[in-house]
Amino acid sequence: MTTSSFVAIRYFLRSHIPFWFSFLLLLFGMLPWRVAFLSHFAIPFVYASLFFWTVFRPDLISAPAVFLLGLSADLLTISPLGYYTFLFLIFYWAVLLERRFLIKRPFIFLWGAFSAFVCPLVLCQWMLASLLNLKLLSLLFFMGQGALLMASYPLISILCAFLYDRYLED
Amino acid sequence: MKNRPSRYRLLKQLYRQFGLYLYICLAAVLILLGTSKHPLISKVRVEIADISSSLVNLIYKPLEGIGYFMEYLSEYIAVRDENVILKAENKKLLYWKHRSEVLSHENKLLKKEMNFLTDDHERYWTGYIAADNGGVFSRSVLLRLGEKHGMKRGFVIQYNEGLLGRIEAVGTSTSQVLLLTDYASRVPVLVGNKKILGVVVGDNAPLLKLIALPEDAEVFVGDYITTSGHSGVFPPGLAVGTVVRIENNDIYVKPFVSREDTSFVKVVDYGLSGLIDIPSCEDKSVKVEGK
Repeated sequence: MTTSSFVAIRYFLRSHIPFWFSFLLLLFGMLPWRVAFLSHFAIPFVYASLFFWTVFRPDLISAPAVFLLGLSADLLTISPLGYYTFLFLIFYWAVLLERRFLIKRPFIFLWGAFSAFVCPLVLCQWMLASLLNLKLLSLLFFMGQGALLMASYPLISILCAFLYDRYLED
Repeated sequence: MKNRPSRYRLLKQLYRQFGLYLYICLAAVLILLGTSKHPLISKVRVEIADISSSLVNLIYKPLEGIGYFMEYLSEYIAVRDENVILKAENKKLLYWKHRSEVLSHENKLLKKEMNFLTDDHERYWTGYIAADNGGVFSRSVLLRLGEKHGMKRGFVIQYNEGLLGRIEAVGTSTSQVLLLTDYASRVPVLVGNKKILGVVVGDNAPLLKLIALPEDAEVFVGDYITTSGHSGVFPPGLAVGTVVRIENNDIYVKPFVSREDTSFVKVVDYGLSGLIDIPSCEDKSVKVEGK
């Protein structure tokens, strides 16, 4: 194998880290923990990862990748087709619009900004889920999801930052 | 030929500008497609679940210790409240233990007297839960038993003799289990000593709801609920739960077993075929099997 092809393969693998890390978080949410609430709350961790990579490396998390992530979430969980696909893409779009404003900001600011994105997201999720269920669902569950999502951001961003520093800074 | 590069560049530019909106529209189309509930979607889902279960297992193996720790932690938090309930329940159970011993002995004598032949022809398997793939829309788990192990749609899922759900879809090495608490779950039941006929429905919440009772039915907190055997999906007499709350016209039932109680379950084939077949992608005619 020539050096150039080795570099190309290495580049290809590294450029897919954001996607595979987010996919791993998706599978993490499906683990059989046997703790009552956890399995129904875990999927949204992907939003934290999406936020981080969209702000810092949008070139590595493209719209088709987000689409594929959403589709995987729809198919792996028993959600209506398109539910997570739509929400992931809307979230990605909103973060992408504000990206210039968010980059090079301190961590605390980013956490606050992420929380600010989560609030309308919770409402969107609740409205779409109620619409697809054809009945008004309890907003409390979605608010719980949102709160957990906000709380989980530091840990997920630390993991993402580690991957970024270790493999993607160049 | 000259136009080709510029056309390609234009398309590329358009994609760069509007690609994201295109995908958002595509997602909206997917939502519309999903509402049609085409059998192909559930088939793809089962196949993907088959592949993902091995991946989930691979990730879970090293993290199993954390899982046990979290389980221990949640049990520890609940232990004080549970202790009070258990003490009260224990008193009742000791009385019923004595009663059941007397009745069991009496039953044995009567069966012998009447030359009664038992009907124990059910087959059963034990399998691990591979993944929790429920969410906002459903309460379901993925079982590590599939078509190659002899699983079929409609097999009953039990744990500690309590009813947990039934198999909804079967893949090659995994099966999708519809839990009693799922929004789509409907189980005909008998309530209390008077054996009042009703239906227990899931609400995507820990408690079940009891509906379709006769108008003059009297139901009390603590009433015991078992399957009635109507519809031919579940055999009669399986333990479902107890009535725990009555609010206005809503009756809430706590299932005897819940998903969180176990990581493995018993799958039983009672030889029933009351489920309506899901039409396959090739054959769109709906086949209804009689009991």
